[in-house]
Amino acid sequence: MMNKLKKWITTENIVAVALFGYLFTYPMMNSAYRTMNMANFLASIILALSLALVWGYTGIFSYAQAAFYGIGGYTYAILCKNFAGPTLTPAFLLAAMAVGFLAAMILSFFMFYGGINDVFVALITMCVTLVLETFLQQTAGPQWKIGKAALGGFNGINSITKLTFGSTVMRDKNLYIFALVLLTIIYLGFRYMERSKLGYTLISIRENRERSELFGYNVAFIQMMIFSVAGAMAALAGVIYTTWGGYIVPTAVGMTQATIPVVLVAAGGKKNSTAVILFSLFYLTLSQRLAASGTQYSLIILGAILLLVVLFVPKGIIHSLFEILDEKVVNPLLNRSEKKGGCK
Amino acid sequence: MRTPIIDLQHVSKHFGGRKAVDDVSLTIEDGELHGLIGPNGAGKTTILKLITGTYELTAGSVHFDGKDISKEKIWKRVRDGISIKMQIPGVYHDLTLRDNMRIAAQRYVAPRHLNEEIDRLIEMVGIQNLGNPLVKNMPHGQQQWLEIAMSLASKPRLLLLDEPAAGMGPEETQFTAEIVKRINATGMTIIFIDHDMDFVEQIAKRVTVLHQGRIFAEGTMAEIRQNEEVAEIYLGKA
Repeated sequence: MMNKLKKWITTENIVAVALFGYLFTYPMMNSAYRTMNMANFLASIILALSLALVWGYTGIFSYAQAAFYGIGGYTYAILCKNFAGPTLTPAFLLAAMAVGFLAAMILSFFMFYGGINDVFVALITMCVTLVLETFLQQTAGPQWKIGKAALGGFNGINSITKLTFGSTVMRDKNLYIFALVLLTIIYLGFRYMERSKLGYTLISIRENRERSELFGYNVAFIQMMIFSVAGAMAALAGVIYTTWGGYIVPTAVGMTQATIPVVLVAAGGKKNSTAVILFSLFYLTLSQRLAASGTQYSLIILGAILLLVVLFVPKGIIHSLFEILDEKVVNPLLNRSEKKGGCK
Repeated sequence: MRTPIIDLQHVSKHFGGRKAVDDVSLTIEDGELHGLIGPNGAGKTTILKLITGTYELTAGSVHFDGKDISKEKIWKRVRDGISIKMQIPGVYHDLTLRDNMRIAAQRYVAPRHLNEEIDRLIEMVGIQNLGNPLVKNMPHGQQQWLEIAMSLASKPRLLLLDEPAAGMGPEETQFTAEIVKRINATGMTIIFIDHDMDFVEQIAKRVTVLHQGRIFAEGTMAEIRQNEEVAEIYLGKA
């Protein structure tokens, strides 16, 4: 029992407990406005985790997460506009996730079964995001309607019904709790996966695709399924965002939106979901504070962080800090000479 | 006569205008320990990669245990019973020895038996005394042995070893020879490539000599040693 506990105590686990403790008590200590604001951050964190799944865990660098985020948001919005009333909104959420999953599956089927990998996946997914953004921006005319839903060009779709479960409308604190519960489930799923058969399969594929196939893994199928699940996750984040703001616009699908999760994941530590959440929270809070003096500053900082990370901390800032603290503080305190290894 | 486990018929592999393997027909019987030798560029590794499916055939066919696998995917061939230890060890450097074994074995054994299976495999190869180091801290020879153990995890009927003793000293080479013989003694068919003639002589029951993508000679090592043409092109004797 003591040994198990000793093994469990790592910087990452301590930070994770503190982080989720902070997030779950956040609404009690902050105003409704700030809580609502944080719900939007949680959507961005889920989006970042969807990228961590494909890139950090599986080694597929994707620029299309923003596209799936937008696909989720637009699907939810279109369904809401076509079917009045909030009763069906939970079904629309699932439908949006299913569409995100299918879109990712179709794209990844052609990529991975076509033998495309590495930088070419990055290029193709970047093109998908660009094409989708460009397409959505030119849908201002009345001919661009799906049923009763006008796509609205640059203005996007507005006044979208909020997600509602029974009589509980997902706004303010409710939306925050809903997003936080989803984030917690996803996070725990990631942490469980890291030690599971699937986790080791993903490491194998991430580190050496050819060798993995020579161990009998159907690499293309696994890549496709992971990419599809990440597509559904990004779509879920898109629905949370859409219900948060009541609108969805093409910029939500754009290149900036596509780049932010890349930096959050790279800077936090792409193989470490706790690090991704912590860094995302830090960056999103900071960028919002900076927004008062112009959003360009936050993007400049984002670019600078990316450069610094690529050059000096390729494992990610937070992940590297976890490693240093484990080595210098936690392990000596616990009299532990732990071997590194495992998923990270 | 025993049944052939692998049967290559008129197999060719061309890279652009270069014929890496050119109309090779090779039949290996079940349980054989067969060496492929030849100078660099003779097509030895290419033949192994044609058997695993890493390379697509330009012409010809590959039959495994009587079944045409020429069009089968790599992973399917592995599940059918073909496994390989690659020329450059395909081990995961940032993981521990047992984590490497887990990656190789977890598909083929129920989770509750995974640890026992890993123990069995590392004992079979004889690396049970190494403990559980990070692979990047293991010497090259030990990485080669680990990869042999990993290759056995899919319970193959045909094991391909691409230079299993490359870069090893005499003691390590001897240990590797014992591993290969021990595995073959379980009934597993082995095709291996190596440049160390003493190593080949020590373990191979039959040998095929390749030269410029074609089969140049076949026979026991003693027969090959007596072949003057082989000596000229490969063994360095006039």
